[in-house]
Amino acid sequence: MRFGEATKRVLTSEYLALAFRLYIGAIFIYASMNKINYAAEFSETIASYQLVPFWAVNLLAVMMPWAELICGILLITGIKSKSATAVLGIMLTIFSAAIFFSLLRNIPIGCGCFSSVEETMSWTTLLRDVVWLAMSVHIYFFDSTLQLDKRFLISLKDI
Amino acid sequence: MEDSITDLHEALDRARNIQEELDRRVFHLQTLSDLNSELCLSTRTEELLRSFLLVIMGALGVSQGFALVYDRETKGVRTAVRGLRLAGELSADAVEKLLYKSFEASENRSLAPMSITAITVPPEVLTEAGIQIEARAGALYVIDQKSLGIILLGPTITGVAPRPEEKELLFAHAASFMLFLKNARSFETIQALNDDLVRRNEELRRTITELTEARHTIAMFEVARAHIRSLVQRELQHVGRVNLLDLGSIFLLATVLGVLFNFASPHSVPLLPETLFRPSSIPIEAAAAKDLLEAGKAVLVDARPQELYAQQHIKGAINVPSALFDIVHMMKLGNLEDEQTIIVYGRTISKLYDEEVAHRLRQRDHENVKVLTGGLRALESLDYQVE
Repeated sequence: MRFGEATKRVLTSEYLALAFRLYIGAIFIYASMNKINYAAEFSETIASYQLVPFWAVNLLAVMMPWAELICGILLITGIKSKSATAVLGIMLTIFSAAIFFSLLRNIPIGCGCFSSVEETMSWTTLLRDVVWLAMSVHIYFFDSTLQLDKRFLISLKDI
Repeated sequence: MEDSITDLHEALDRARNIQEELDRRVFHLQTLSDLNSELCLSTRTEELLRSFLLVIMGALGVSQGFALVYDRETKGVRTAVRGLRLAGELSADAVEKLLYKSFEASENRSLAPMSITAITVPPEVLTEAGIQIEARAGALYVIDQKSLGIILLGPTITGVAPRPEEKELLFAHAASFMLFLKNARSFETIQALNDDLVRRNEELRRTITELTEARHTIAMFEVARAHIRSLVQRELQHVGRVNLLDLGSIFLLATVLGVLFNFASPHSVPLLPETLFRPSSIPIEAAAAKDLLEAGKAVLVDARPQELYAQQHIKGAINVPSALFDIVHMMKLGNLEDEQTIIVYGRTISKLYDEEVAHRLRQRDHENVKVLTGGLRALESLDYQVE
């Protein structure tokens, strides 16, 4: 009984959520760097998934890395972290689904998550994305510490 | 008889003396009247002092005169001088010392308000104060507790010493002068009070204006504070929730930054694929393509990336991915005649590889480039061999 409560307390800990938040934020900031600098290569990666209409591929290649960077920064700084987590959660869901369907269709492509020069994706890639997605879900529900916007607003409340 | 004549002469002399005395008294009264007429025209201390000195010197036939008024509260010294020159400006300390010595030399040593007393100031005191006058008559007058002064008169023009009635005349003139001086000082006090009142009114008006402005500012701050509080309260309620506006803002900001960065980046990509703006290549149906291929009259090109080509392709197709177009074209298609028919295939929902490679082939002067309608699946459905 006590072990169960302790486990539950650890699993729902706001500090665990904070650790996940910093980790996921850093991952996405790092992931965005190469894509921002080499939009053409990232455009090829998106196209290789064969899910996005051809006219939207370049637009997505230009916009998506910046969304990753902004959300990563928001997560690290704790500003609008709930909304940023939601955006990253949606993106991770789409990435996982894309990887899943590519694996099902046996399309021999790399993941393209960090750079275009990667090994062909596998079920491990999918598992990694699902773990990140689970972390995002944890952040969404349990993160409540070191949120700068909340602290700032509370300090303004005393006016 | 002689006694009677002598008595008559004596009576006549007495009558003449009485007549002269009466004339002198009338003259004195006339000067007093003139002084009053002169003094009532002015309300300023300096002017009163000058007029008084001028009239009294004329009335008594004196060649030198000095008059002084001292304000003990403000330590203000005002003087009038005729027939002599002062050694310099009289300081308040020098005047106080002079007044003290005069008080010591006065007959009844009184400082009662509106009083006047005769004084005999020692010459050395006057010399010390810088007043070069041979004083033959003098008076110390006290208007009130804070204002007092002295009058000093020199020798007469005739050289005759002033008679007692002339000293009385000096006192009478001085009394009249004190009255006017008191009035003038009262007027000056009223004037000063009025000026002070005007100044205070102005300050009050300015203060009221500032207070009104401050009240408006405070009211404005109060409104701003209430707005900020309500905004903060609202934001605090939203801070733990997902806000559609936030999501939209993130995507909008990402789009704007992405487009701007792409515009400036040396590795930029066109936001929309160039194939959208080019005329489509000449299509060829799968059946016609099969006939040409089987007759050996066409070259088949697979435009997809190597990975997809390796996974599955039409037998005999040459893989020419656009990323490696130049080198592969040189190696495998460099010897083809320009008129040779080239059939290109390979596209996905995300990329029109065939259109891209066909365009580049046309740029290399291949005149007969066609794009296979339906791609690999269309030929496969016609039992064309796939490997």
